[in-house]
Amino acid sequence: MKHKGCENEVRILEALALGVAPEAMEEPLRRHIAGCASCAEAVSVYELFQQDCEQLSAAAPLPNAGRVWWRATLAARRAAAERALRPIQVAERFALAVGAGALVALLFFAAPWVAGQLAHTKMFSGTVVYTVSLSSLLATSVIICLLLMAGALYSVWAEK
Amino acid sequence: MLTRAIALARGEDARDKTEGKTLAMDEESFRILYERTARPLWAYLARVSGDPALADDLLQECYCRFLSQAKPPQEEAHRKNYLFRIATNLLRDHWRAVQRHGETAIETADLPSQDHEIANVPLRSDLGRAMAKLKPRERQLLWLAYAEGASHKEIAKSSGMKEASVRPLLFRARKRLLAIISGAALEPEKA
Repeated sequence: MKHKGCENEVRILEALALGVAPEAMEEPLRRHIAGCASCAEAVSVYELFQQDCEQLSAAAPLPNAGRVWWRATLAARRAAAERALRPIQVAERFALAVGAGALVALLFFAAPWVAGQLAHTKMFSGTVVYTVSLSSLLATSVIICLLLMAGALYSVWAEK
Repeated sequence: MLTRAIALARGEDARDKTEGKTLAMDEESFRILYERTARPLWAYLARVSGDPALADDLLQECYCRFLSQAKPPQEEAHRKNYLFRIATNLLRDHWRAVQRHGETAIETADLPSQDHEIANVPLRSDLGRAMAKLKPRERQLLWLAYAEGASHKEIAKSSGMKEASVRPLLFRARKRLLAIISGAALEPEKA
């Protein structure tokens, strides 16, 4: 009782919430309110809050319902777009990972060959002359293309 | 699905389908619900947060979240309770964010200054000043119980606490509020 208030408070507050004024409550409840400090206090606080709520509600600077609807529509559309774009994003990341993996593998396997090609370079009086075969030219072009593709994919992904 | 994704990415008109499927109700029903619930919801947010501008933002966010629900309650009373629950969660999230970023302490958060653009709103009433000295949870409990006339069960649902805990907490909050109003605790609380 001391720390929870009176047992009847719940009944009284229920009646007040239903719009029953304290004076219009049943006789036993009215008599109880008159004799119970805790219940009388609950009624006073209820009336104080109701008055404050009325004032505050009346002065509420509400945004237009249409504006809120519009904002909700935008949010819903954005959420739907995000959901729908998720497979594309996953595919992009997958492509990026596969591209990067392929590049690493290519570099790993091509490293001995590149080293071999570099060993065939001949130097004449300070000028570097490369003896380049058609196949090595093609392989170098492929590597450069792969590097450029990886860079492009990364930039697209970073932009998103 | 991919076609729809590409259409959405291009900004093409998948709008009607999107709106129809993702919003919980049509615009007319929303307007009716808004007219009936927005004012008390704003009052709750404003009094509990002590900040009318924040109340504006959270109010709109409440309805956005409500509309994005797949299955919102159908009965009006339940809808209102549901909105108050969303509002309570948003307030809690806001306070947590404030605490994380080390902004103004919430427990003693004061009301906004008079030069606030919505200063005409009577937030500086006696009750408002007294409420500002209470803890956020106490403000919530008191407002839901005495301004909204919510039952202990509804308060427990909204605030995420046990129903049995509501009564003693509410009683203590009321005692503290009355003590503050009567001047016994008008001095700022020592931590």
